[in-house]
Amino acid sequence: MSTAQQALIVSSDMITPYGRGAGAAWDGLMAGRSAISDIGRFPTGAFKASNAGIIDGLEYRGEKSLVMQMLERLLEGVAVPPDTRLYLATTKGEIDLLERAVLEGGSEKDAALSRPEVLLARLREMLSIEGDGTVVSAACASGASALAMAASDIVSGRAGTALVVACDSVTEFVYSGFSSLMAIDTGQARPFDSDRSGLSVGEAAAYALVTTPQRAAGMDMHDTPVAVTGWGMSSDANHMTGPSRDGRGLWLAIKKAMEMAGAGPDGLGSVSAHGTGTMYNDSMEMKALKLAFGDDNKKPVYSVKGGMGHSMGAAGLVEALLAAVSLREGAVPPTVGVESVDAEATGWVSKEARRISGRGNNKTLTTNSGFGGINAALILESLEAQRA
Amino acid sequence: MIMVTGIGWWRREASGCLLSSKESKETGQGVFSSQFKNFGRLDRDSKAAAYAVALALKDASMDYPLAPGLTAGICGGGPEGCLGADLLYFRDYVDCGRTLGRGNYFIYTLPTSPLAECAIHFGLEGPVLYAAGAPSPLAGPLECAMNAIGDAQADAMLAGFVSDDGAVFLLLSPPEKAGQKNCLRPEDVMDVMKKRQGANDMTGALGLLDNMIKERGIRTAV
Repeated sequence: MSTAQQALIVSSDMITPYGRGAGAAWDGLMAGRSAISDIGRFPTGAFKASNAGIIDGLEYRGEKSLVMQMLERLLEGVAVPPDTRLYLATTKGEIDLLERAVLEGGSEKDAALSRPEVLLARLREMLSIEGDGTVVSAACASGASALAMAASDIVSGRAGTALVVACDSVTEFVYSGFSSLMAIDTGQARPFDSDRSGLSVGEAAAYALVTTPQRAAGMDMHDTPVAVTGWGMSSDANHMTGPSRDGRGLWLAIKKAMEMAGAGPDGLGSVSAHGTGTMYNDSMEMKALKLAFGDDNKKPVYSVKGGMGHSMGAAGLVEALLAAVSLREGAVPPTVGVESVDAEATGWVSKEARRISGRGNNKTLTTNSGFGGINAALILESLEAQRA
Repeated sequence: MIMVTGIGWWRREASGCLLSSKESKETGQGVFSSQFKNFGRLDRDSKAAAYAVALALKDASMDYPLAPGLTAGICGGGPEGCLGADLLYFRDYVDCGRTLGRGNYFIYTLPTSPLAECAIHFGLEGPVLYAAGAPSPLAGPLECAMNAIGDAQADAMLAGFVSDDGAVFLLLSPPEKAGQKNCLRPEDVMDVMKKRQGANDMTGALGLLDNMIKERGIRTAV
């Protein structure tokens, strides 16, 4: 991909259960520390589990929704050009407003304030963005899909700057739903562990500003930008809640991303996996990665969800931004929560942090999958020279 | 070259195919060319989306499962998103004492659920995305679908929306893959949906599409 066609992430930030910023999350993950804790927001006695990745200091069912409180903190002082193309990635947005309307006998009009289009309009106002903006929802691949759409706008010249904002929160609505599907681990999620038994719900908000090298040249940047050089989106076309058993759907997304980035199986140095901790997702993902790279072409693979939980629509963006940190640091974090790596993932996943070396160490793959069999894959490239 | 090669719409009282001028006589599962497994368990929006997609494919004379090597995806939106499903799930959960949610209601609380149901039945292995925002419920999905094809994410895309009174879906595909020759330029449809008043609901969007076809004189009987 030539420089003129590159889509660069030039500015970003996040709030996760580890705290503010990618640095806080990175440090927590590298230390092998989990930020998953007991839920105090709503009664959990009827559920199989009582913990989640929660952000400190948010008021539940107060004046403002959980994600609005996160976004106000996250976007304070953020300035973007007025012609910026805005993407809001979320699965349930301000669903706690609907909860409150139902619990307090409010009207359907009150409940309708939970629609993500309402949040999109408020974001446009907060950021003084002129265009309409788009809500992107692709289940738990929403954040990654929105980043792909933003990169596409930049590469194609449809926009000069695009802002992706991704968010989701831990609510009684979401928690009771996952609980009804028996998808939650009683402890903390253990992605790729042989004894894994489900996910941990989490919450997060993040943003990424994507632009051209030409526009980036005039911007004040704290970090070396990372380029989004490939993306792929696909569907398993198989089942509403379970992934395809053979991994072919995710592999299709990975294949498209690799072809777009011009990266062969040896051209990628690491993988940030979706790694929810459910039996079927993690198994499906390993099959997809083996289809993409070959059974014996093992890459350092990690999941962050044992540390911060599964932040649903925000996960894809949070993980892409942490993958960018990984490229800069030349390392991948341990998969927090894993004790005994599943046989399918042996040699790929580790409970230890690892250095990335060899060919392709300046490129990384991120993958996300969600309900309905929706998949997304991204390839990020560090603009620093490949390390020896 | 990508064109709009099929437009299917469905309402409780009527349904049809716009480009081939066909009123659909079939009702219920008769719209589908193969049995829709567990159709009865789908929520209202998923059923509406499935009918409209089946009719869009029929309008284009395109069989499914799609021909090998033809990857299609689906992009949808809607003025209400999944608000109805959200209320159904959470009210039921509260009414049942806030102890256990109903899984079959919960799975429809994603705006992508109707699209995913379509992907499963019609074998759509390309992108599945909900894209919503002003200025009209069709503009976002249509733009998203055009971009997905431009990025080589799929050879063909369905773009449309579901609302309280039904659903409309457009098929974007290479014209040579469709079995009939009537088609529209997606850019023209986008222009109409973005600039003309009245595209905010199903009736308005269908009226605009119908007028556009009449004005351009490309509506012919098959």
